Amino acid sequence: MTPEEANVVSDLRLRILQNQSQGLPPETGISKDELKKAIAFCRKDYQAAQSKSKAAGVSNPRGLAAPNVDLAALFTSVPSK
Amino acid sequence: MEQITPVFPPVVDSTMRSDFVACPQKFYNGYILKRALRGGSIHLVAGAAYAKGLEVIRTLVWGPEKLPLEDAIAEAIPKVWAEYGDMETPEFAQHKSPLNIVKALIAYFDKYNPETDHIQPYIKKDGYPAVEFSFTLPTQINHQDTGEPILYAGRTDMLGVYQDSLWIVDDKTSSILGTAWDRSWALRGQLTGYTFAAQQYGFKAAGAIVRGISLLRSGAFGFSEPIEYRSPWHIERWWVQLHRDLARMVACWQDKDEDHPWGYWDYNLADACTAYGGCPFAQLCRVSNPEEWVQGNYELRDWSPLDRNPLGRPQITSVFPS
Repeated sequence: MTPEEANVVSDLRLRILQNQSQGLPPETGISKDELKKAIAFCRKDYQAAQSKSKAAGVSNPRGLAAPNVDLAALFTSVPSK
Repeated sequence: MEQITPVFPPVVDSTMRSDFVACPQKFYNGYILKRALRGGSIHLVAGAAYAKGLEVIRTLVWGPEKLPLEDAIAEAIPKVWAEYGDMETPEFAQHKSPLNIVKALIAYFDKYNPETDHIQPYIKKDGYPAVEFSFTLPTQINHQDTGEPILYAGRTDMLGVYQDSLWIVDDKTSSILGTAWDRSWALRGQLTGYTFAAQQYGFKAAGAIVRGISLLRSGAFGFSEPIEYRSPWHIERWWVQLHRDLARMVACWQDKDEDHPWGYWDYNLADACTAYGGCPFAQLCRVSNPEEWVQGNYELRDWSPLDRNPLGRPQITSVFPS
């Protein structure tokens, strides 16, 4: 995130906390465009970190892990042939 | 510190049971005397904000509003940051900052896009997805003061459908994932309790799928999702064990004398004192005058098993310029 982008995001959070401290709904006065801009900054940021750490071999993305299951324990009797 | 009249908790959850089994003194300090380290827990605050985001986004995308994902994330951000509050993120936990929690949510839905996610939520009759499933069940052990059954309660993130079966889906944040993390859920009573509760509520859940996201210090994220079946015998053993543990809690509470007006609660004095970053009450066990150490270091906090952050929502204390 560039310093300007970081400022936009931190200003957004400050306004949300201000709303909250004044008892207003947190989203008061905040446009969807501003929020979507923040999403784009965040996405760019994490994707850059993701690529960097993949290149360094430190990321650990995993899929659906093998089930921890004792198949014998799932059945109370042995099925007959 | 404000004074309270200790009472035996009317509701117990998996964290309370786990703390009691690890060390009855930990249970006594946390849930009888209602003490917590001053300033709150960054792990609970960050976890609650992440859970809030998942709940809002899933409801908006899969519920009657059917919002596009990007719009749902945009709607969730103010609620996520409000849930996080103004707690300052300690230096050691920058990967759990409010900004990183939002990035984690974006990364989660980039990986598990609702349109193609292999786990779809169970849709209730009202058209809303079964997110934030809460339960309360009576046990067969009675409360000593009220005579009512002690309740067992919990809250999980979603009831999902995977391969035509119903599953509890429980989202977890972690600093690192791996084979050891995957395996750590195999016997976890928390998941067994969720499965049992879903079945008692009429949902034939086969077990739980734990969706883990690692918030790496590099700013990247990792994902894993171990599948945990829970057989009927497994559930029955857990239910029996829960009752044995509740009975031991009640026995500690009843073991009162002049020096121990709220019962005698045993000490672990072994690994539980240092496990997972250390017991928050270890300082009190190290000194001969623990009550003097309570002042200034601990605050009164109620543990509410059904809240997203059971130690209480962080209070907004700062004054911002208007």
